[in-house]
This record gives sequence, C-alpha cells and structure tokens, in this order.
Amino acid sequence: MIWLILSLMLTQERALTENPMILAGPGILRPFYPPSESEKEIKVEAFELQQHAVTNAEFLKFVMEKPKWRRDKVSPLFVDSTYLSLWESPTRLGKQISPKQPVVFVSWFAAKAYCESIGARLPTHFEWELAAAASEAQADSRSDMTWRQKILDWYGKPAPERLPNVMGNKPNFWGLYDLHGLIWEWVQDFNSILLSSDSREAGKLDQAKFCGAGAIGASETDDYPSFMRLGFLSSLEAAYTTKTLGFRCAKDRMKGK
Amino acid sequence: MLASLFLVWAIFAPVHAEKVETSFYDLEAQMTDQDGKSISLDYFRGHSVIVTMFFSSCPHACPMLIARLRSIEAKLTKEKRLNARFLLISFDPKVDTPAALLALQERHGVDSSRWRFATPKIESKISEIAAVLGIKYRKMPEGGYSHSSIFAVLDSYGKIKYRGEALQEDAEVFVEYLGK
Repeated sequence: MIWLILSLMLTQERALTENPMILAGPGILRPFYPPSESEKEIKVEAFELQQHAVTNAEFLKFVMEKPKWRRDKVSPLFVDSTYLSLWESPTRLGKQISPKQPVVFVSWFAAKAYCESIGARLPTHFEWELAAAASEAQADSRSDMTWRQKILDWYGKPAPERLPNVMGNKPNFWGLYDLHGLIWEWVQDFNSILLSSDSREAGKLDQAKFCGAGAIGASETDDYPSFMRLGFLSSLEAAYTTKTLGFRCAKDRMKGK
Repeated sequence: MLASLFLVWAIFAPVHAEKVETSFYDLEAQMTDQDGKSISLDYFRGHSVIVTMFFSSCPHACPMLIARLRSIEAKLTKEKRLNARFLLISFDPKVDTPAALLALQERHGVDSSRWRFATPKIESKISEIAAVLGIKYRKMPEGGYSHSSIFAVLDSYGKIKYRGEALQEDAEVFVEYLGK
C-alpha cells in the first residue's frame, strides 16, 4: 500500500518536473462577456498552470499507465472517432509526429483524466484568460493593440500541416509558453461559461453564440480574441477532438509559495 | 422488398450490437442516495431510466423538474411503469446530504422504490456526468447553480435513447421512449 502511494507520488513528481507548474495571478479579469451582473470584474486567485501544453510524450506515458485511455480501449462515450488519430498506433507515436509537439485530438474527458492522474485539474476559463492576457513584458496586455493584432493574425491563419514543438516561442510575463500561437486549449468549464444566473435569460445565451450580437453585452468591446475563444469553446462537446485542440493542467496555489 | 427486409433486420439485429455501443454506465461514479446508502451510477441497470440533474435548494426550476417527472410517471402504462426508474443527481455536494435528499423525496411524495435522489461522492465527477448527459451548469457567485434542464432516457444497458428539454418538450415524448 505504502509502495503504491510512493510510486504514485513519483509518477506525479516526474510529470511535474518535465512540465512544471508555474505560478500565475492573482489578478482582475474583466470578462469580454460578463456572465452576470455581479461578474463584470472577476477576481482570479493566484493559481498554478503547467509551463507548456501537455506533449505527445507526456500523454503517451499516461496512456501506457492507464490503458483505459488507449484509443483502441477507450469508451466512445468519452472520445469521438479521431481521438489520438495522429499517433501511429495506440501505444506508439511513430515517425510522423514529435514527442515534443502538444498532444492534440484529445477530448475534454481525456484531458481531465490526464490532469487528475498527476494530481491536478484543468484550469477554469477565467484562470486561463488571466494567464493568457500577459505578453512577454506585462501581466495584462489586453490594451496593447500590436500584441492583440498578433494573436488575431494567428487566429486568421490556417493550422499548419505539422504543429511546432512546445516552447518554440518566448514565455509570457508569468513564464508560461504558447498560450497563443500554437493550439487551442481545453478548460474545465468550456461549456458553461455563458450560463447566466437566471435560466429565463437563456435568450441571452443564444445571442452570445452569434458573432456581433454578443458585443452588446460585452465590456471590452475590442478584445475580440477573447470573444473568439469563447465562441470556439462554447461550440465544443466534451467528447470532441480536433487537430488544433490540446490542453495543460492547473492547480490551486500551493500554500507557502 | 429488399429494403423492408433490411428494415426488419435493422430492428432486430441490434440485440447483440447493443453491448458495444456507448453506455452512460461507462462513466463510473459512486453516489450517496436519500437513504444514506452508497450506490453506483448504474444502480438502475436493467431498467428503463430517466436521468436528470438538479440541486435541492433550487427555488424554481427543480420543483418543476420533479413535477414534470411525476406527470410522465403518471402517464405510463402499468407495464411500462413497472420497469421505469427515475434518477436525479445533485450538482451540490455541500447542501445535498442524504437528509436533504430525503426531505425532497418526502416533500414530493414520490415512490422511493423507483426514485433515487443521489449526490456524487467525488465532486469532480459531477461535471463528467453533466457532460455525458449534455447538461450545462455553472456554480453562481451569489449561490446556487445555473443549469439547463434535460431529461435523458436510458435503456437497460445505459445507452442514451433520447435526450430532451425537460420543461419544454411534450411529456408524451419521454413516455414514448421509456421502456423502449
């Protein structure tokens, strides 16, 4: 039993030295689309986020340890038919892809299970947005038009045939890599970000699904990248996998850090 | 003729195919019910089940959900009713203790042999159950939960036969799918 716990701790330790948790926040977020009257300003507590997106190598290790998540064994309840489809076999990456590329074609269920296996969780949308609001030099760069344009340019480009490896760009203010410019990332609450406090306001929710209409209720009308992420995330189902969607894990801030 | 033969085959063939299809019960979760007993998500395996999610302190929508389920139950034929079960899973592990769930059952006077109110033991399982059922929910800063109201109808294997808007859809639709 003790042995089991020890080896479990070692596994978690190993995963975290390869892709360490970086402290981000605290900070104030003014959501592009405030979900309710009381949420025009969101206080995000300090939290930890993995330095880079989870890689193919990291995810392969997970799949080997938890065969229930192999693409030939997983329940179709949790993944669609393209799950891990870039891999040569259920247990081998093959020559076409690199171990250092971010893992893509993973569902929300699989991402969540991975994070839990290393004693972590998926970040919330607000946590992710706070971390992603930082440029290389500033914690909050959302009013920097040049920076914003760079992100928009990336959104406008088609996905490359072959994804670059992680950590190919400079880290942001917090020391986090590739929050922009590499892949889209799952968050814990991807499908409920737009839920308002009153289900009678469901009409509002529909409005926000369509570009433009949502901007009526929006606070930072020009933070379009954030709105695009919201639109993309809200369109997903938990079992979906796509070629530009991966994830990284988060944790509550460790006491005493 | 060939087409109708195929149709007949298509209706009867899935008997063994059923097992490889996705089942709600692939999701493993332990819950505590209104009697304080530990039950797993597939407690009603073998029955025809309507599953939904709620929280007991909810002032408006949830009492309507339960009323709706009761009216569906009342519309069932005797034969269907024997096999029909109702599973209501809570979003709110803090408030929805067995005592709170039992109070809810008693308030609504439902038949406890066919109705289970249950709270998942591990909080992070709640989001997985909601995702599989296609239920969106969010814990609100001022307390309570905002959530969509969905009824999912499961067959005896746990396969989701139908999923519909709980309060807007005609009760007859759920009646139709129950026991199918």
